Amino acid sequence: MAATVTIRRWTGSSGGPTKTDITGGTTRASTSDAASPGTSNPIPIPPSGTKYSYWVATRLSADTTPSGTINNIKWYTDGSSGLGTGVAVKMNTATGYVQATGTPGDTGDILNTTNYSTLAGATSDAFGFTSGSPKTVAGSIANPNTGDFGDFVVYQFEVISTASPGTTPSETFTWQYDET
Amino acid sequence: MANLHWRAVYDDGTSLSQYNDDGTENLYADIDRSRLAEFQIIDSDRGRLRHALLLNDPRKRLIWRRRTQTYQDGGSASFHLVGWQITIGDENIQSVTLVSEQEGQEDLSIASTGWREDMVIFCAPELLEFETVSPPVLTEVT
Repeated sequence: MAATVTIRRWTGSSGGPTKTDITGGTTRASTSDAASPGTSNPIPIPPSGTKYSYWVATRLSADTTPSGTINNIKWYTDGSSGLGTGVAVKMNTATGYVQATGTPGDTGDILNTTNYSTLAGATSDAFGFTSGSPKTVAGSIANPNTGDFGDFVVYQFEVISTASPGTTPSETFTWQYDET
Repeated sequence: MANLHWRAVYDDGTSLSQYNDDGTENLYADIDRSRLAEFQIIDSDRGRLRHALLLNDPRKRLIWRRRTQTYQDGGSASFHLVGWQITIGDENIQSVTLVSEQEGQEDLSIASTGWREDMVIFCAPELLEFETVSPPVLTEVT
């Protein structure tokens, strides 16, 4: 039987993270380490400089085991940001989980290898990864195992002074994987 | 969403289905590639053949995957990727077809003459160990 695979958003302490199933729903980035922040703790529009969301750490989970193997994980966007002027999303993969940090209600700490030690490297524009040029996510899971597998996809919203107030339109991030 | 499964047909007419009548499952790794003559994708609900791959050359190595795209804001799409690859000298040649499981796409299949790294749906799979070796070519000695 095909495995049941979900996308999990990790929040909380690295010693006991909460892994929220965000498959099939909208998940928001905010200036808090909350899996479902709603419209609380929005990212302020700064008069100058950049304000950051807390980073969002996501990972696949096999809630049931595959018959064989799941591998060849890819992650991508539609390649066109509909978030509006002054709002960007930066991302990279990571081999481990680091709890998001920052000043609640104000800004997250920037997502880089200093603050997120297992990040693969510098972040880049998430919308640069498309169905024609996806991000490869290392990792796999094989029968009879279940649970988290593959590297994390970690992303962060950046807001500058030219952004408009209010809720941005949503964007779809897509995961692809192979199963035998 | 269509319920698709595979069936391997051997050169002596026998076959191995992904699912047995009692519901137990045979693994893709269980297929005896040395005797494989045809690989089929069957629509379980309609009891009809969706795709057949005829393997007329033992050097052609079967590739099958169930490839799934999951959208973070909801929904998913799955395809069965069926094809073969052959290594001739330094060249690796592939042929692959995607068979859709999606509602309303019951007759859809898309073929490509090889892996396409510029199209994620046709990107090369990570090969499993048993997919990297061609079965021996048996020759009759007289």
